[in-house]
Amino acid sequence: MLERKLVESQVPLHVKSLQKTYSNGVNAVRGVDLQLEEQQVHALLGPNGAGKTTTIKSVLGFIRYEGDVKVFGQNIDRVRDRIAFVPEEKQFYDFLTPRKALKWCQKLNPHFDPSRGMEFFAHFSLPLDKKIKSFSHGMKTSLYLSLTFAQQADLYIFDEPTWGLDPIKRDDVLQMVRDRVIDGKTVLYTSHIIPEVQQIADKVSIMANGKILFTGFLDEIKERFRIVIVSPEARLDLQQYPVMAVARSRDQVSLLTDTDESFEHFNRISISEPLVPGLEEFFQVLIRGDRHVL
Amino acid sequence: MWIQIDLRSPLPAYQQIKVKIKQAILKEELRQDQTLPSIREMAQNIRVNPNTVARSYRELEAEGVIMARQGVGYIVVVNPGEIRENFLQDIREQLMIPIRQMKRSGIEEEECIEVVKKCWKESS
Amino acid sequence: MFYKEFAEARFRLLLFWGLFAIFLLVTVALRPFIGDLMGQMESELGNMPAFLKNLLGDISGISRLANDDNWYLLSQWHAKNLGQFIPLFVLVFTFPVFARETDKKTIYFLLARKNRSSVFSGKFWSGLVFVLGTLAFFSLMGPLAMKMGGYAVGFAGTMPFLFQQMVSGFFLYTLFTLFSIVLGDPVKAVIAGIVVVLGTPFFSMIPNLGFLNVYNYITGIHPLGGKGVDIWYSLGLGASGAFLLWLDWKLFARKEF
Repeated sequence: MLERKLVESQVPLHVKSLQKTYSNGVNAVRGVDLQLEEQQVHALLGPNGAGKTTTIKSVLGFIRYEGDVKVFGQNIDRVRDRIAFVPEEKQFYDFLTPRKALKWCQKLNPHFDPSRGMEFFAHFSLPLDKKIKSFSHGMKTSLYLSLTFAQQADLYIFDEPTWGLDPIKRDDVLQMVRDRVIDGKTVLYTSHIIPEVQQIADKVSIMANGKILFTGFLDEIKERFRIVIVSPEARLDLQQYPVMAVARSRDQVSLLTDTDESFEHFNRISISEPLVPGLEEFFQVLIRGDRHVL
Repeated sequence: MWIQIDLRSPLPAYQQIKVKIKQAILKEELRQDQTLPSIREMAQNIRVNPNTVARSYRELEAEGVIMARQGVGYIVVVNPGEIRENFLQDIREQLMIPIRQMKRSGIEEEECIEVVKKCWKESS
Repeated sequence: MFYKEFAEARFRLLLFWGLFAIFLLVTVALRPFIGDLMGQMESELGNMPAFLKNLLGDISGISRLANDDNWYLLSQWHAKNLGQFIPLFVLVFTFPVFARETDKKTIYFLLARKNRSSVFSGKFWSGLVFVLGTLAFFSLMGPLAMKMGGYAVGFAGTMPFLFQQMVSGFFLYTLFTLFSIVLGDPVKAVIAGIVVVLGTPFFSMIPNLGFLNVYNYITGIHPLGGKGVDIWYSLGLGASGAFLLWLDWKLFARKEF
């Protein structure tokens, strides 16, 4: 049974005040907080260039950063055998074959289970003794995922895992992520594909321009927020009736409200029916709204 | 067991699952003492996170509709008659939205009932 | 890590093992011909008028080549056919070790699962073992092959060469690893290496900078002149290698991927 325990012990990932400015001056991450809970899929959703990959790279120690990152309560270098990462590129060693890769991974990692690796290979119909050099992108992804899942890690981090895959494979991958949750594992998943996040996430953090605009449970969005459309000329008394985001377009202004008072107030002057936002609408208003921060 | 989750619906996924399960019990597609699909199966079939299914199951258990039995899974513990009122409560909540809409547009109660009657006739 | 590093380097290693084996075979096989040729030249020289002999300068080498198998081994194998190719071998082996993984992004797999010092150690030390192992093997095969060919040689003469080859191998490896790490791209790394390999001999032409021409040390000029191991140069080169090793580690530890 899956029960959400109150985690006093090790939190799979805790990120506090993460900042990263590259040497070319690009301020990619501008103060990010993130906390994962065990046995959950936490999606980091945002447009390209939002800073998702930079966040992941900082967490994994690939780049230097400011801020605090703790994995299972410790410095990541001490718990690397408990984490697994699948990068966007999914490049593996060309000169190995799946069979040899299995042998090598076993030496590399204590919890690695080669028989599970074989099961995944069979599931993806990967040729065991062919050099990886000859694999298509889809096959390389399948291989990388197989080796990753066979690792029996406790925290999985995926960066755009379904990119470049056909719909059947994409579905497969999502199911494998769900299976990890059933096994009691934790997943951090970056994506810019909203329907996918809806199919797989418990919690979602929406990121844009280096900042996280919202973190919450997926279900919570429909229960907590409403989108109210008002005319561009309408007076917005946001001091008294604060809203989560204001997104302006030529002929309407969308307000993302999360309190009853603000909702009631703006609904009275709205020019169309209020919306219960799905993730898509919520995302749109939030992201566009960020450009008009008042 | 197949449930179509409507991502556009104002109801969160876990609520939709609950409603659909209650519906199935009402229609006797799910009988008393029958076992529900496992969380894993359900999550795979309807394509949602297992925790979402778990939440539905948990809440249904709290409402007394299903019960977890060790080694077996979740089983239905009510009959159609017992679930009726519970189901109607859920429907009432769903109906609030179009009814509010009509009220705001100035539709009177009698007109509203006419609309409901028409829908009832037209639906398959 | 050895397993994967070997699989990755297999082609270039086998290439040089093959080349060195062929060079060695040829060196041993040519002994009788060189011996005869030198012998003929010796008698020709004996018949030369004195003033021509003076012009030719020191011709004792020819006599030695004709008659001394050990000298043949040292001057033709260690100082020439093996020695001259050591920098090229180390370069070709070393340049992709870090650069290729960085360029192709396969290094993410390692870096996510192991910490920096593990990744560095695994790659660095396995590479060094392959380099030094290869050099030691072919160095010792020199006298061994000659013995098998029936020639009168001992291992003692090879020892100082072997020592200097080990120190050279270490130094060159740490230097080319530096390029491999810093430049992050196999093409740039090999170009930088080629510049070094081809440019080093030119130091001999610059007054006072001749000592920077490591070829003299690698090919064993000192032991060839009968003076054994060049202690000071060995210490200097070894210390430079150690410094480069430290630098390699520091740069890798700080590198952003």
